[in-house]
Amino acid sequence: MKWLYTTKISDRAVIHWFVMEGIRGTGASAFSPVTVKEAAYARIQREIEAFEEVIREWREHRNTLSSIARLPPEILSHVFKCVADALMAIAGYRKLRWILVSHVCRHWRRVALECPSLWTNIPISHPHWAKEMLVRSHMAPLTIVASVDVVRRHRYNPTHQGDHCQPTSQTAVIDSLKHLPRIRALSLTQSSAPDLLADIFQYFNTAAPILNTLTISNAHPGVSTKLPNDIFPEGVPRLQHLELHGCNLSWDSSLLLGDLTCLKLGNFTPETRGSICEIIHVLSGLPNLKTLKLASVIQFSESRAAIAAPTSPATLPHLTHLHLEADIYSCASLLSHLVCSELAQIHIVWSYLPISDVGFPASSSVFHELGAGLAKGLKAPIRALEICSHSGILQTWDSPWSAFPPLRYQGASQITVMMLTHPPQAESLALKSVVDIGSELPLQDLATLHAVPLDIDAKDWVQWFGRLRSLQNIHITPQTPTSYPARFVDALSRGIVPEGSKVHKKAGRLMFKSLRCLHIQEWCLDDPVSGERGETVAERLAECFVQRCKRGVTLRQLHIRECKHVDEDAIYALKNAVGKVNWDYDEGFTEEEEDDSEPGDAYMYSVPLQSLGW
Amino acid sequence: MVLLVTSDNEQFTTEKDIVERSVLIKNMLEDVGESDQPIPLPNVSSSVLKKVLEYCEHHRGEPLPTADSEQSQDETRKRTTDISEWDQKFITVDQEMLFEIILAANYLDIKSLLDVGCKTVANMIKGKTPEEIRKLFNIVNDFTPEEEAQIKKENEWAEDR
Repeated sequence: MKWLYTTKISDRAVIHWFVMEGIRGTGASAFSPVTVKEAAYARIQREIEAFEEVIREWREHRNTLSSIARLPPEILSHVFKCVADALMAIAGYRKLRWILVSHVCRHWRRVALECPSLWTNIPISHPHWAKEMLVRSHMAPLTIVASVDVVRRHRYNPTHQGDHCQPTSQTAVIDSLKHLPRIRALSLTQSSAPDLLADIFQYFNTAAPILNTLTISNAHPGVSTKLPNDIFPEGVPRLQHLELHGCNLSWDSSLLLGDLTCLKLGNFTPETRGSICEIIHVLSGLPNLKTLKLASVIQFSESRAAIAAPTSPATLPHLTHLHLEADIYSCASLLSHLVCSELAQIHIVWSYLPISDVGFPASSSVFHELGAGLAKGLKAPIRALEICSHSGILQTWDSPWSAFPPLRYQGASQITVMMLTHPPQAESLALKSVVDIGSELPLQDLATLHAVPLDIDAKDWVQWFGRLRSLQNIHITPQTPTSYPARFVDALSRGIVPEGSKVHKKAGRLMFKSLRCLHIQEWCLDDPVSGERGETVAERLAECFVQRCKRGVTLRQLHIRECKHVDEDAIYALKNAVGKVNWDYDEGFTEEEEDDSEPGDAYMYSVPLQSLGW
Repeated sequence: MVLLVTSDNEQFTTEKDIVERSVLIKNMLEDVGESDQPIPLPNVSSSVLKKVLEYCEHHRGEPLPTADSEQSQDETRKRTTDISEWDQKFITVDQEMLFEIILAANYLDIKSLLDVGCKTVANMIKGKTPEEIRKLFNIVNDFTPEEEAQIKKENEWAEDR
């Protein structure tokens, strides 16, 4: 049939003649003997196949004319990798849909099959594909992410009754571990009994020269598993990322040596948890760490005195992310024995289990130690602070953000300190912790404060925040939604002598001098304020802002959110004292004003700044 | 200023920091030093070079990928096929132009543009059946019966878990 290729097709009739001659050329008919017919059948089949092959070749040639055929194989395979990466990131049945790129045409299939790196993400949950991809990936470095749980299958099987369990994933994992020398990333997850990980660890017995990432997660609470000490006998020279969750590890393991940049350890059983000395010793040998997470892997301590001090601190000059979950004493101790200067994110989740009430007050120094530890390694100054003294949560950011919405919704935090334990003294302990820890933080660059709430004395408000020159935005809610943060208002009113006051008082130094924007949330604005004048909260605030304005300290924006008992008079008084008053329209406007806007719209009162002397 | 000459003999004068987003041209300029000599680009037409320069001008001043950052770029590619809003608007062209831009980015060694082009093609492919992909790119099915059988088997493997 080569003539079809080589002949210049100019005359369809000639071609038709050749074809018809070929068809007539078998010399067989319905009356021919069987042997003659069989020979004819065979020839016809050959002719059809040859024609089909020619058609396929024409089709293949046609495909070379499409615009996308301009792309050379190396670019087309790059496109395929983009498709594969995007679809593999999607969980579920669509995970393997990227293989369709090899089902489009022969050229695309050839390009895909000749690109080993396309087939390196071994889909353990699809055993046939896992096996095939191990072949197609040739010697390219592999990534294996697998769940090793026993798979319960619901399939019709005439020889078995009911369900049957197949550890197919385990078999596929073990098969893929035969390729350990070319595995670059290995992630194994177990979420149910029985413990299959222990069997799999036996196959960590050959060289793993390019293993870069090892993640093992055992989420089953009843199963305790441990990485043996004799795994990877020839070492793991390229290991940079080690993550073990619910999988114990000896603190002298060879995996904890070398160039680790990311170490995440979590949920060790109590008997395998490390002392501060052991952990600091290990960390001293990991100077390249950038990320460190230690969650429930440190021995529990019931007092600071029970922790033996390491002989020297661990210096981690590149550490940017630190996450600790332990008792308060261990967190404080570990942090004080780390030398860091580049920390961008610190998360401390601490628990406190007081043995008796006697032990409770002693914790003050440990909070100060923790605060000092947090402060010393920060890379960037603190620009925003959010405190919830009820639940013992303190967070900071290196960006000032805005006072609304809550800072935690605006960006990733710089420091997060969170209390886990809720003993009977929870609220007082929570308050104490955030105040003591926060008092150690360098707040000279603080621009935004969000207190939800912060129940401290007026003098503490003044001492902590009142003199900060950079503090421009405050968002504050009271201790209980139907009250108001009286102590904060007291602090804000420091140095002010109200007009008409009968008490002879000299005007003093103003606090919060840089305050430009105040958000008050869930305040009860018609509560009477204690004191000689019997005014409401709104009236007192208005008086305070007017007096501050007269002394050149101006509040440009007041935002009133979800406040109770807000009436027209209160808003009027406030709008005469502040540049702009924004009320989220809870209640209190006249019908006429209500008609002008949709429920929920914010009202913005504007007063010309000139009228207030700005 | 740098003078570029396209395959259709059109001349483009452009600033050095714009054109140096192309590693090929950057290396050429470093090799020849200060010179008024035009740089011939025989593999790039004027209409395509115009688009490429538009891209380079928009991204001028951004750090060029180094050998160190290539691995992290690889990681980024793994996570997403997202393309920034401007790039997406820029690359909204017909298929002919899209493939020419990709070829030019490859020839001129502008990794970020090559990546945008490849991600765009990947986004066109994502979520489509082979038949839809064929239709999109004017391709026909040219598989042999044996290859078809293998493909059928592979599809069954994907269902089997």
